[in-house]
Amino acid sequence: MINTFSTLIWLELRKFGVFGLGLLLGVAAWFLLARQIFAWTGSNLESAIAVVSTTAFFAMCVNTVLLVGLAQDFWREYRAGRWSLLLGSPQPAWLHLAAKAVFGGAVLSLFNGAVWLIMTFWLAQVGMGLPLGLGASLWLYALGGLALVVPALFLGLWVTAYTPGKATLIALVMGVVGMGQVLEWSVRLFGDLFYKLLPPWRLPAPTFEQNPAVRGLWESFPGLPTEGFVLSLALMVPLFWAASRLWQEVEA
Amino acid sequence: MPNAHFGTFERVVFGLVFAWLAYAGYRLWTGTFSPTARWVGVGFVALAALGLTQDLFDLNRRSVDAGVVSATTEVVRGVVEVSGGGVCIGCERSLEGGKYRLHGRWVAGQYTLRPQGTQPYALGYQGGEANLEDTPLKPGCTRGFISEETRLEFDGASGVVLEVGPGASCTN
Repeated sequence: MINTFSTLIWLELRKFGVFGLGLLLGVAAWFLLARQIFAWTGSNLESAIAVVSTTAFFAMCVNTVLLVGLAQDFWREYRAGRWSLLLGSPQPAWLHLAAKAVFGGAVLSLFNGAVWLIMTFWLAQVGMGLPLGLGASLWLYALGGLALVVPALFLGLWVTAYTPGKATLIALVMGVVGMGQVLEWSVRLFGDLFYKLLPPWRLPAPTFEQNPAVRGLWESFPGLPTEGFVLSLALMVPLFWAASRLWQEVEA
Repeated sequence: MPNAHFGTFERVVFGLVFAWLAYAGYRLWTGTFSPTARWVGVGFVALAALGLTQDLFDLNRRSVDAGVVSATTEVVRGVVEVSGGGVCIGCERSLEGGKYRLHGRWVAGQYTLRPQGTQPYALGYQGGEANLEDTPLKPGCTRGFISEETRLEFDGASGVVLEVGPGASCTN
């Protein structure tokens, strides 16, 4: 019972560890390769823009593929029914979900952290300093307590649940539309309260060597609404609960 | 129904979408034996239908206006019509006392002012950038008169006050 969670994490590591390591090696290789291709000494604005935009584009693609991969893997493993055999007794669904969410969040954080470091390096060449606090702050907000990962897993489950009825595509479409509606309605209903209840989520300013005016522009921005972060955390609870129920009902 | 618009286009498109939603709901209900999956499916279909209905009857304007993002047209009769919007943090608007008034902690967006006759305006901001018809304004208070359609743009301006109408001023 004590070892269940760590066993699940270990299984995730066995499954995605090599892939995650490969991802990090890929990022490191790209870092070295970009310095061979583009001029990086002196302040070379063109190459900085080229590298930063390419990195951002590929990072976005990899993130999408990773999320789709997680959902698919979820579906595959689930259908194979391997977990209950390995662990000897059927484990509660939320434990599986938590292990997957934690591991998925860790892989995504490592990858995006490495990408952020590359961008920081190239922007530093042209005199723009991105503080680490800014990246960490944005990432924490975006994760919103793993609110990014859980809906992806949820969609995976959602598809699984419908496969017997052959309504998979409809389920997927309604899953995406429904998630969008949940977010839209939350903003519609609680948008009034943004910036009113809690102090705003301040973002540290990037430093520009030549341009203090941009710094002033940044500092006049109050920050992201902390209420949005709390809202995404609050949304995560019913989503997690529904996903957990679905898992157990489909498994039974 | 304040602004309901039922043209042929709306009838056909919304009819098809609602029919598909009903079909999807039926398939999702009969496609599984899991009660949670059934109810989540029906709930999602209901949410989508509700959102579409709101768009159809144009009832969502007030709630969109009330949040951080605003996109509205507001009219003070005989004085000014203000349309457009954007992201407005800590925003307060009023149409009282025969003038239009916008107060915001931080604004990024475009507004179009259509005065009726010649009207005085006052426009104040502290930090960031603001442009009146592509002319950058200095921080602080700018006062004057407008008689034609005027485009106003805020690029992340803080401490914004905009008043149009008789007795317009930057201070309250």
